[in-house]
Amino acid sequence: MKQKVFLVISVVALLFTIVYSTAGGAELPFYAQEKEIENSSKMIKSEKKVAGHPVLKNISSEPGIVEVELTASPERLSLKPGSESNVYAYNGTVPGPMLEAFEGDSIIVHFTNNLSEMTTVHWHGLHLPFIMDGSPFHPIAAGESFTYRFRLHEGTAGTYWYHPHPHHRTAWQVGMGLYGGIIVRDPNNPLPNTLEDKLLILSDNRFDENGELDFAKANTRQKQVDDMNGREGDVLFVNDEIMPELSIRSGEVQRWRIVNASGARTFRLGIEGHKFTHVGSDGGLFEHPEVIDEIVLANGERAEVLVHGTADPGSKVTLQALPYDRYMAMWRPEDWDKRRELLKLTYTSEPSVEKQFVVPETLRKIPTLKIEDATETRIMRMSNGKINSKIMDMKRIDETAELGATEIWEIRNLVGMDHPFHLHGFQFQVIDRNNVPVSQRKWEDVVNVPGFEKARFIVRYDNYKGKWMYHCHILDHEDQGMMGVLEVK
Amino acid sequence: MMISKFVLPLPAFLFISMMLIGIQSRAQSAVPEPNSQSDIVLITASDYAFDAPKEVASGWTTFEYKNEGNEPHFLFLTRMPEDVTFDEYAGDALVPFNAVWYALRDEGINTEEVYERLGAQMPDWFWTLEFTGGAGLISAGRTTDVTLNLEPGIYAMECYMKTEDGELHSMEGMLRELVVSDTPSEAAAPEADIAITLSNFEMAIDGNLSPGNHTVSVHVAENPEEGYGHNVHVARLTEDTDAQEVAEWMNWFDVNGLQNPSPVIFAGGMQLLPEGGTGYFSLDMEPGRYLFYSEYTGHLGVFQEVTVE
Repeated sequence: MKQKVFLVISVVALLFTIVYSTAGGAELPFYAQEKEIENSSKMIKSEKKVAGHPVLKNISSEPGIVEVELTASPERLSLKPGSESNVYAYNGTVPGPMLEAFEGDSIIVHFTNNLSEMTTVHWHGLHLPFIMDGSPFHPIAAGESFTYRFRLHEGTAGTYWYHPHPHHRTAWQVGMGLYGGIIVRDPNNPLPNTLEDKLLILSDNRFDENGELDFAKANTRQKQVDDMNGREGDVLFVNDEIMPELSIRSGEVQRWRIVNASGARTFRLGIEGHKFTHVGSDGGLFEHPEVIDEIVLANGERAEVLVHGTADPGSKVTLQALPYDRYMAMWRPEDWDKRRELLKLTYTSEPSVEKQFVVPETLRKIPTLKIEDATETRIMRMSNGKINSKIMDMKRIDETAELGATEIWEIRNLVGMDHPFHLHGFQFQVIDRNNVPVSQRKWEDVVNVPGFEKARFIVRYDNYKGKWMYHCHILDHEDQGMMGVLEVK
Repeated sequence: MMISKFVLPLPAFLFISMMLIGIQSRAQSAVPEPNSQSDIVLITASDYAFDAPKEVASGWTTFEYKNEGNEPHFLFLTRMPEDVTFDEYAGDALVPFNAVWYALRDEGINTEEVYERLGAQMPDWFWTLEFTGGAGLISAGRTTDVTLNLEPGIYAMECYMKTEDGELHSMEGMLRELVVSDTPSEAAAPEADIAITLSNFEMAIDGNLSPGNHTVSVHVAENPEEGYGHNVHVARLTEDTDAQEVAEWMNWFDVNGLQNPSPVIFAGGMQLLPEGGTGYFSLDMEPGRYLFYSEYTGHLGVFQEVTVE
């Protein structure tokens, strides 16, 4: 069995209720309160079926503190029906259990590395102190423990994820199963808590004929392809399942939080006959919702979408991974244009919801980072495996900036494949792509730059000094050294 | 200027050249208007990519080619046939070409087999590609200007040097589309003070090869009926450099040929031009020995070793 930790949602929800009310939360726009308690049995059922997310148990009774235990260890689990594989797992599950907290909470994670190699836990997208970032600068040796402590800043409600980040070993460790989701909730959620909230962690993997995870061997053609494209798997997962089923009622609107936790695959998502309302990105909700037919998520990116149940009761549709060409023509896989099915969405037989949810025109206010305040423009030229012709050197500082400074980064992709660019520690706002302004301000920590294109973002280095990584989030590229260090002083 | 020639042992290349499938060439306008300012287009090479604009004007265009990488790079421009896309070039030509290179590198197939396999695996249109010039090899940190007269169309920019691990730079990412628009540039060809004429079995250099900056014209008077044609790479030779070793290193078909690290500093040059075509490149020379060498036909005598005094 894959899940070794039993679901404790109702307990966690109860704890959150206590924490929140003790902390002075007056109203009840609190997702985990009534809704989860009320629906706990249903949630357990539906999570087993679809979301499959055990939640890290809060062992603290202090208000505003979420204290959890997390262990990385080798396990033998069944990731796909009919076979077992040697994997790495957080608390015995793949994906690892979800970390759920509120803006303003202090997070304490007692982490133990039970692997036979060093690792880290990178809290992807969160704004936190340098030594808590889980970057390659702070490895945790095999058998050692470390306690991560950080506070979730106001305005950071959104969907994040955690994964290891040891230098040269990230693709391997994530591929072996180390990744999990994070939801930071807003006490004043602008979307109704009555919306069904789903966390979909997308990933892929490759298996050999014995059911073991398959990693290309050195000096093989497959290794060369993986080095160039990043390792992709032919088996696609939504959370811990292959082609799981999710139910929706006709006329219902659900809130889906989607994480692309794959090592390299870009997901272009669509549901035939359906539109999404795109309401959020890496760093939380947009100012204004956008209606879209499909969504492209490079690895590392997250999206929040509202799924509108516009089909008839009893009908069935699928969430598909549509073809997306992110490759140089010389390395493009033969089956790149294959449509793949990810998730079955089944409409209940209940009659349509009578009072349909109307999406608010404004979700929140996002602060403006002004271009005129930028004191520097940093140009990042990305070729395969290098940034600005350099391979990552842990002893080298590539860029230096002042704490509090606002700067522009111009990411130029000089080759014919996509490179998703990730900056640690600070959320940024994309300004334009190929000189065309973007539709609205959004908080992001990954910007995917297609081949031969460029994008500019603006960022302010608030609060935390340190040596922050920036890199291509194709994990094989990152491991090859397509990474640099920004020191904020 | 002192010009001397050295003798290469007759390699198998002569045979190979005879085996080569002929590349059809199309003559460019070879009558530049002298003394005019060209448009400057910056192209920056890195390991392994080109930073370049997507589109340039047709007609006379000057490319400032800057090598910010750590390895030598050249800029090889190829014009696609009308019905062939850049993507097809990358996927349908470079991939089998690379497979043949691997067979040469890893299986030790002989050069005859190389051409047999290329003949069998390359798409028919490959043999109608137009090679339209470009910058010769320049070493890390150097810059050269090349001026070319380009017709509208879709071009591929490419460097097929080899990495230390024996991978083609183009497969690593040094392959990029360049659109030459119908809009003509208003520039004209620069005025050259050194003229190189390339013909079968001979490279003629006219002009005063003195220390300092020069504008060099390269005119292809004739191309071989079979084979790729002539180009020029300018290598700075040290006192200890064996010119013959440099020439051998420039043989791409040798497993270790055109592979990083290079034995000498390269100062630029001109890539393959169609018969009758002329292009220009800038050349900054110090006193010393230089080898002007045609990568494809140097072994047939298309080279000069000169001393700048």
